[in-house]
Amino acid sequence: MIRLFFFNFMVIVALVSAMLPGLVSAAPLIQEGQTYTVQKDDNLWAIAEKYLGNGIAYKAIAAATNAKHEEDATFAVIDNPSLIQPGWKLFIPSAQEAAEFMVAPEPTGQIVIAQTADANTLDPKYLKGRQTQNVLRLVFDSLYHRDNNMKIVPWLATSYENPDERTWRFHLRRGVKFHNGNDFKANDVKFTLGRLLEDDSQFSTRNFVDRVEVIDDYTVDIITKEPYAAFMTRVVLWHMTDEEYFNEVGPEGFASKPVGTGPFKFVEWIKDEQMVLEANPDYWGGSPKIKTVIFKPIPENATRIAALETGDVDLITDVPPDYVDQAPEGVEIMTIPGTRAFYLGMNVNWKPFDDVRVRQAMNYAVNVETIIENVLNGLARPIDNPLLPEAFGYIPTPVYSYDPEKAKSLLAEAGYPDGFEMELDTQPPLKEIAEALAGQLSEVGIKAKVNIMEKAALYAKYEPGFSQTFLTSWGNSEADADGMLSKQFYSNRYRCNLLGPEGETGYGNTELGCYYTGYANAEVDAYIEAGARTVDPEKRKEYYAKALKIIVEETPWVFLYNPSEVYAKRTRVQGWVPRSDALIILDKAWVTD
Amino acid sequence: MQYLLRRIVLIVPVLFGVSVIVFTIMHVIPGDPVRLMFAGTGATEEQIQAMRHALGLDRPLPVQYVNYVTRAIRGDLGQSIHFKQPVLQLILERMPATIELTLASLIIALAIAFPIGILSALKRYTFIDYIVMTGATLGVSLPTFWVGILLIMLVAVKLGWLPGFGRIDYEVHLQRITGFLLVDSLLTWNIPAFKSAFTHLILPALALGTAIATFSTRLIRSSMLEVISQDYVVTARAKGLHERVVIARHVLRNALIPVVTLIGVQIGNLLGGAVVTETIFAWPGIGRLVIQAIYNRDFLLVQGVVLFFALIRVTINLLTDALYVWIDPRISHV
Repeated sequence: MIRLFFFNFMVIVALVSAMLPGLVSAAPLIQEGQTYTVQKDDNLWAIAEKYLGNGIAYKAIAAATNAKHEEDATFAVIDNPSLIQPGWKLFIPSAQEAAEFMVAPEPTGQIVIAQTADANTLDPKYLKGRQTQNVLRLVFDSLYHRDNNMKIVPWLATSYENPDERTWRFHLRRGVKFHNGNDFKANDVKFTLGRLLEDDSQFSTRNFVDRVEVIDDYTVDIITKEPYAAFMTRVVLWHMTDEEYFNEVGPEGFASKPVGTGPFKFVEWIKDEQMVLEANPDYWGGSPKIKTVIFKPIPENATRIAALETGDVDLITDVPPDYVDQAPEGVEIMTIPGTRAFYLGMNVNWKPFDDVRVRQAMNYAVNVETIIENVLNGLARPIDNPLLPEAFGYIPTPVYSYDPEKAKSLLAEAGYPDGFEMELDTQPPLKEIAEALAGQLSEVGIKAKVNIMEKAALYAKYEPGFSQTFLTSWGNSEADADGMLSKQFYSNRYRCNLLGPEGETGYGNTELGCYYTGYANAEVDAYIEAGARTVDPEKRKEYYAKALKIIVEETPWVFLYNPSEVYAKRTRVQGWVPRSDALIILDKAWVTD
Repeated sequence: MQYLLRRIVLIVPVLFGVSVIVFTIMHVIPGDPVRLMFAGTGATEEQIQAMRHALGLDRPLPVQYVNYVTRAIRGDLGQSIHFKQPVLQLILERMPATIELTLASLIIALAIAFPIGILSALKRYTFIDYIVMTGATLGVSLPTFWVGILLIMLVAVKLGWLPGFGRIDYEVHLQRITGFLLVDSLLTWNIPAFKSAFTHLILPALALGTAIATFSTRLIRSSMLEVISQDYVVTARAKGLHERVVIARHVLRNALIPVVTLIGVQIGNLLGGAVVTETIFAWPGIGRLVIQAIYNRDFLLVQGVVLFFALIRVTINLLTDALYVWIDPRISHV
């Protein structure tokens, strides 16, 4: 793919360099690409000036280095050209290649993307679900951003610092403009957050952000209520909104014609039919290569696949695993491990799951590999604890493996030599998994009755603790231990107070719905709290490692699997990669005809 | 006239009853919109309570209901929790798509059912009749979603004859005036748009229409058969009238009354069937909207759509009754 790109490069280069003699000139121009190791006090502009004769060619160095990185990981990844580190290995392209790069081609072509549902709104304050996020992320930018490897990198802010442990001071990128021409400034950050803190906001921002202070036009302080180590995992979710424009058109006006700083501008939305976006050629991060992006919601799997095969659609999400082997010519399947952990929750205050040996036996009785192979067509990986390997704070905890004999002996020890009967609640998409689990459990004498119910009904049952066991999942797109542990294993999650006196345990509280498995351990709580408050990453890792060991040992979950995000695209779509957080980023993608 | 007036007045208690039932059902079934809204975000109790308050869901149910009804009378159906937009606007935006699909399906259904139903009644207990009746029985038992997916796989993917999803091609630019794409394209004399909208309509209308057609065929046949054996038909034949005149003048007209009722009922069924068909064909109508609304426990939106469907149904029933009067003047004396 990269090779093809460079091939096209070379073909046009001759023409282009003839037309553009002035841009890259003078200086000892290099004829061939070469590697360069960053020295102390280097900056990309100066390097570009020295080797390519013009500082502005720094963009070509960054692009070429990033392209090289795909082939050879020893090359650096330059997310922010103003931040390069001594020791980084760069690739300086030849003068001709650089010249070609500097002539940014006009965005061309269109891509049609079919997701399972339409956006619920275009107002970032009310965004719900990844389908909406995918649309909004193209129109709006956040202060920091996750790159394709989930690393958090500077975006509308170029850097941040912590004057004290509750204050996050962001230095904003200068020269960024909203689609209507307004400048992006600190007051817009304050305005955006102000809306997220309102009563009818479903963002968790209001739980930890105390206030926002504008220092000057390009400096802004966000002050948290308490020290919050995972703060940056939240910053990437805030879509910066233009205060001036919003006040001019009002909330309805804004939702019907949103204005952001992103790579694409909003054009048209016909509900449940199509959402049309158009390239923003003046994007601060460089013009996107695709001119028109169209989202078409197609809820039915078979129809979405048909639309791809007929060529009406170029990229589809949520591809059923069994389609992977049937994809015809011209269709390419792309997968990446997602961020959701699937598990069977066991109510630890409900016999027989109050006995830790029974919970451990459940883990030994289940053969996750077989389920992945037979039900998920291999498109998942087993998990050994609640965190995925990519998450901050993960450590491997290879405690359980498929061992029915061990399961039986643990059951016998716990006083259930002949097994027992249990109920397993889940929702329709997980029916086959639930049945496979029930089949495996029956091998050790456990008779599981599977109850399939609609999602809303399932949540209403297991959240307040009315399910004996429940098959469900929890997403951790924050990729930080705090995002998972403080919500699933912290006894005081959502002020639930599971360790409080009788009657305050959150059990049966349908308003709050914080009970889940009812698992609570004061020691685990202490580690989770310490992990959230401590800023030093090494210290945090230690706390989480200790918490994980106890959680896995006492296992309120049967640890199951982490499914892949599966996409199918037409081969005409190039330069696009799936991301584990399931965001569709098109800044670098292009289409051929 | 008095009969029709009485019927119009009766609409009010019907809608009232429907609103009570939907309201109760939505609040009795498990599932809480606010909990769903926060699923996976880690909200505190404070935040949940604030949201409940902001949405007015913290008030006692009777109060919520009374508020709802008093606003609804003034035409304000409230705001959707999920879409953050007025319910009425959400419904009106998607209504033309559903009506277009429903009418097209009805036309297809009747175009199939009338000739076949009449034919099989005239040729009763012959080979043709058996074929038709077997076909109709099969048709009734085929689920719409299965027929829909089959049509997409075969006609759209394998043969490539017709588009398999959506309402119109993106490349065709159409200025939307009424929201009915066939109407809009004719109003603006945009032939490519008309063609695109028309071809997009065929498969979903076929999937929905055939399901209804099978029903109608059976009813038309049995209704014809009943009339054919009436004394006045025997008399007409004895008078020496041509068989064609007997069928057209005497049989068909009298057989029409149950069929008109049927069409009225079928429109209701079509609206219900649209829920499935719209989902399969990615048709941007009300059926798809209400599915999402139910999954999200979007109370006001579900209530709004159900009330809206109920209103359409009673209106159609009313029109059907009015049609009776026209077809058979005896009815107005009842």
